[in-house]
Amino acid sequence: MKQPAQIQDVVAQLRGYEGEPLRFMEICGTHTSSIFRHGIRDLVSSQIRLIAGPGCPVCVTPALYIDRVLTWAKKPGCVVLSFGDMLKVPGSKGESLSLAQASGAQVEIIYGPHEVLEKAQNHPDRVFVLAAVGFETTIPAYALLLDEVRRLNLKNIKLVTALKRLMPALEFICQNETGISGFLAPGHVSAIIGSQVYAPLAKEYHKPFAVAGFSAEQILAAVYGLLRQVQNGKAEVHNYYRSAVKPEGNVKARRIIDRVFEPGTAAWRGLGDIEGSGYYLKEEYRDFDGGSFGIREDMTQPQNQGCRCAEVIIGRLNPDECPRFAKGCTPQNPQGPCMVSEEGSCGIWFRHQGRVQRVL
Amino acid sequence: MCIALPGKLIEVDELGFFGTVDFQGNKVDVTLGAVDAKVGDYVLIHAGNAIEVVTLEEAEDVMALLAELEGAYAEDEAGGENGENGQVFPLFRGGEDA
Repeated sequence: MKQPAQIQDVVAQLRGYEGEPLRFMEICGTHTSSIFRHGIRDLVSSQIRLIAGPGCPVCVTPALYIDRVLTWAKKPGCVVLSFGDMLKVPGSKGESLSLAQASGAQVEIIYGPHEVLEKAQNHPDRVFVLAAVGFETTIPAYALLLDEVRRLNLKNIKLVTALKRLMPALEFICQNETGISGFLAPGHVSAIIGSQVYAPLAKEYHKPFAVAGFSAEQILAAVYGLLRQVQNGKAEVHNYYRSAVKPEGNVKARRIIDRVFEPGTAAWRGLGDIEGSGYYLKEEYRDFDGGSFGIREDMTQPQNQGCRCAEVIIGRLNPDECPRFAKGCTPQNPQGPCMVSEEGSCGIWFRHQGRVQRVL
Repeated sequence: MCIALPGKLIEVDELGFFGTVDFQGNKVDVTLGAVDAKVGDYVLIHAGNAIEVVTLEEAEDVMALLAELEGAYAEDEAGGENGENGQVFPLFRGGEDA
């Protein structure tokens, strides 16, 4: 008879680990946020380092993208609609949507892409430009929106897209970043792309994967699962979020994405250009495009002097190792995207200072 | 950014495009085109869009999943390998050992 284990047992095992140093990368900003909120870094052995990967779509969006959106925001008769996270991200000249708004540009925060429908219907004289960022989790919402825009025959909606596909970036990390012992796979991206997509990477690069939900218990269980895989020399995909993530993912959502978007090369801040890692509007939807192509400058270079977001994004640096961290770069006055976003490593780190264990 | 919350679908429009989801009393309009959901289902909502129908009745029991995993390793280890460094994790040790 097995006795049911308690989460305390999991914590005790994670805390008591004394083996080889391990580095597990979480690739979802919401995981990073939850890990800090629950103090999970403090609960595990100092031999287990949890590092944040490029899981925040705002953080990996190039500054040139912000410049494109700013151009629209300043055009008379145009309104830019954006998720709140994007507002303070500086463009290549340091200007953000928030600053532009203060100078009279029309910028409005939305919570979901479908909000544009009512606005566009009520104000046919204005052009509404959606700053469309996101991973696979968010992309079906844009695709559904455009189908509805077509059905309603609305002509005053544009999208400037910076849409990202997880798997090419993950493969890029597997190829280029050695020393990662395993991956905490994102919960809600996986709801769309499924858990079995990680299996080829797990096999080829011999990395364990754990798909995790967002509660402390789910994350701890997944980290423990990764540890056990390493201990047993395994490199498999385990799914700890079965209520939302199916092995095959949401096939209907992916079909909707593929109807409207097609893969293409995209620039990731911190990683540079990655082939096939972006989604772009297909030819038949191109009339909705507001300038999403050619945003390809080398984002491996820092945008602001001393800003080292690029290295933070791929887990090479802890946020507080950046010379600007808390010294001229704060959530109130961010110099780089990792400090801006609710899910950027630096912002999370800053808000939880004092509760953070130094892990290096 | 990829945050998503489950809510109960309480209304679907005639086209099936929009629906209303109840988040513990807060009623929110969402798009439904990416899922096959019916009134009464729990749907996971991200950015105003349903991304998956969730199975709340199959409660999230991560400990059961771990037990399953641990059972598999116990078999491996019984086969002669005691894990790296000879370390056996006693998390799900059988009752007679505990």
